[in-house]
Amino acid sequence: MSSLSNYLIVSAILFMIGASGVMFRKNVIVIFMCVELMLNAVNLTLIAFSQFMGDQSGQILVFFVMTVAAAEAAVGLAIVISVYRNKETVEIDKLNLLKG
Amino acid sequence: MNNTDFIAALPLIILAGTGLLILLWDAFEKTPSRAPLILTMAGAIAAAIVAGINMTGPASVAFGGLLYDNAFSNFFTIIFSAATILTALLAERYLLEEEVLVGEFCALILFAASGMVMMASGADMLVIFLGLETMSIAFYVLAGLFRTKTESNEAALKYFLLGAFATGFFLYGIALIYGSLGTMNLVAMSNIHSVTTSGPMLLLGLILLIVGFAFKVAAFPFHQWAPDVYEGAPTVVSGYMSTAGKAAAFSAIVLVFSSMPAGALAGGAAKIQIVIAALAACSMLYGNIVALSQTKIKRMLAYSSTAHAGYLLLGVAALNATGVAAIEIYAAVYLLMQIAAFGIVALLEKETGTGLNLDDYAGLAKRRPWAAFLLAIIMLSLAGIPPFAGFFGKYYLFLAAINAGLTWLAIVGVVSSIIASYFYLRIIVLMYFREPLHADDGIAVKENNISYIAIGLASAALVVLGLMPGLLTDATGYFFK
Amino acid sequence: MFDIIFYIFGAITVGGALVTAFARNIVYAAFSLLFTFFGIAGLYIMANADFLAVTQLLVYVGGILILLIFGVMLTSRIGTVDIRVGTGSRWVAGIMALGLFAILCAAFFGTAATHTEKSADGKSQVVTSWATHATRPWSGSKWNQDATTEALKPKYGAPDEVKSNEGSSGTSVEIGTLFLTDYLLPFEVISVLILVSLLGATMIARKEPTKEEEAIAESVSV
Repeated sequence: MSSLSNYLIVSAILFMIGASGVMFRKNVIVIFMCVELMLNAVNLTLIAFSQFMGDQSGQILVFFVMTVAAAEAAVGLAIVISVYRNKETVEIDKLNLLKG
Repeated sequence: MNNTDFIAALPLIILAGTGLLILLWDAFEKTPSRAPLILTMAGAIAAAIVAGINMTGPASVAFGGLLYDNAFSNFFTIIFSAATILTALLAERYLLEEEVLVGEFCALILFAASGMVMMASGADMLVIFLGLETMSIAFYVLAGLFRTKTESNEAALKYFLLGAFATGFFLYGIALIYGSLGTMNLVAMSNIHSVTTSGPMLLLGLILLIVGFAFKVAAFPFHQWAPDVYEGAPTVVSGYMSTAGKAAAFSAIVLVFSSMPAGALAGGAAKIQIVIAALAACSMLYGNIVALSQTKIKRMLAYSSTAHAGYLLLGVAALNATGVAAIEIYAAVYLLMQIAAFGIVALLEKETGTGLNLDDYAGLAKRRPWAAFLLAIIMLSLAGIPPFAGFFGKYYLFLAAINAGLTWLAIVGVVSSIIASYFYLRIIVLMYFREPLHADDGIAVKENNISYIAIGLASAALVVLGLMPGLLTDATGYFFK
Repeated sequence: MFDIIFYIFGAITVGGALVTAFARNIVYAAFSLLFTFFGIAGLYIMANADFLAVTQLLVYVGGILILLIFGVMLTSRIGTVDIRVGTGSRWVAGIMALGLFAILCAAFFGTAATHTEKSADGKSQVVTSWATHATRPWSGSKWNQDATTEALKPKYGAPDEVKSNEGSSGTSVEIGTLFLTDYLLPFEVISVLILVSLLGATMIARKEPTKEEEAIAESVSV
């Protein structure tokens, strides 16, 4: 059985779990964790292809994806905290001001 | 790294370097001042000049195949710089009144611009990805610039979550393309001269890439975040995001699509074309029809920006040289129109404290004749009425679609433009033929000359480009000759 | 043996992901994410990507996960946000996700694997297919220790470390070399991205100083 297919299937499962988590869940932090799952799935695909083809650029991209994920995590949590802070002081009952 | 590499990357270096300089300046400056805005403009002007000089030189690929230096990349560099300059001009009064940190704002728009330059000139999907992320992260922060306003916080949160989600699709697309073609480098990709075996994976990779991009440009099924984010974000930021950000995404998607090796898709090319054409048609119709029923001007502009993304997608669907040039032209024109429109909204929002509902524009011609006049020009151009530049932009896009055999799509485009002209012209009717709903209660109107200069420049450019479309078509360099 | 270990790591990864995405308790979700990250690092090692496996542990487990857990603690009472706009139901979302998965699998199995090779005229050509590789996992790859060293020798000269350790330095030598040669531009440019996130995070999360604090800051700086 091909190892490459195994890797690709695992990563597709992971991507699917992540994507459905983003669509199902309502908690901001869980949604963000699911986005991280999706990025990890992509990394796994890239590493599998990179290994299979003997080409290094896939591994380089994985390295950058990790960096970007870390940067996004920092900004994302800052945004979550600022929302939380205002919510506490302003006391809105729902985070859905911007409708209509 | 040698001299040519350095010159090719110079606009990028100037933009990012000016951002760093502003941050340093800001560390030593206590009182809020205009210096960061002036520096921003100087940096953007310098980048545009360098790009203009590069444009006349021969096309090349720098850094061993990582960065294009050609007419396409430099054209987009110039329009990103123009957007940065206009945004800095418009932001002057807007930010000082909101007590936002001007230095940080300027640094962020410059870093975002450097990300866009990477997207428009990346010759490797790695560079395009990094550019996209640099731009997006800067936008997430800019959307949440008003930290004490719940609307702004929420806009940032929504934009961030959906943007990160879209990044996942975008990257998966890159991974599958990499797996199918064995390289992420666009130059290497376009050099592949025959593909012996291929399957649906490349096609799927491209479709996932399109999904990721469609999120970023707010095309039809993926547009839901746009009205909320553009409404909640600071108005000048909305103008910047909805124009330069979209133009950058389109430049990147054109780069990727135009480097697909011939024959790699086999029958898939037609499928991709149908997918993009469907996205374009739905975006145009949906955006314009929903915009009809909006009562808030920022939401109306957001839906109309979805429609404009549809017009630009029409050029992508055409997938030919005419389409590429038409995208360049329309991206430039759209950028001027939309930034100026958001600029007027920002101006009135600050001057009168209202100006976010359409009703607030009733009788504007009596109260603010100049603002009404400029807004009328912008609206006529957005509606695509000759002789303004918007008309020629649309004309070239429809021409590209017809050349590519997509006549039905061009017809959908024309029909949706006619629908759109209703709500654009409605604003003009409101301004000129209606009495103001609420009389000025003696509120001193604060004049804001710098914003007027920016909006006036953009409107003048729309008129000039409309009367002499040759200026733009020559700049795109490819064709129409 | 290879397969058994693969399945163990794969099961850890997928199981952790399932708990993360669907657990009711947010703390469970965060901790099961730890298992997913570990499982993925294991899979990286099995794909000979040792350097990235270590990076995965450092960045994801050591950085991002800690940040997320801090986020959980700081905002324990945060409400929920509904980013789904419109009327899409959960079932539609689930069917979409499963459909995506099915399409992905179909694409993987329906696609012949490719591999570019330079032909005589300097252009590259996509050749080979998965069929040959399917029978010999990884063996067709140039990506093993000896081959890496051999491939790098003419390009960069053999580093002393590689010689003395008989090729045990893994992929880090090559990745490091690539960062400072072929991929210099992205390596430099990523610093702009990190600066943006640093600036943005401090700008947004910073506390609004009260009047007294501002007065104190003034007096200190003078």
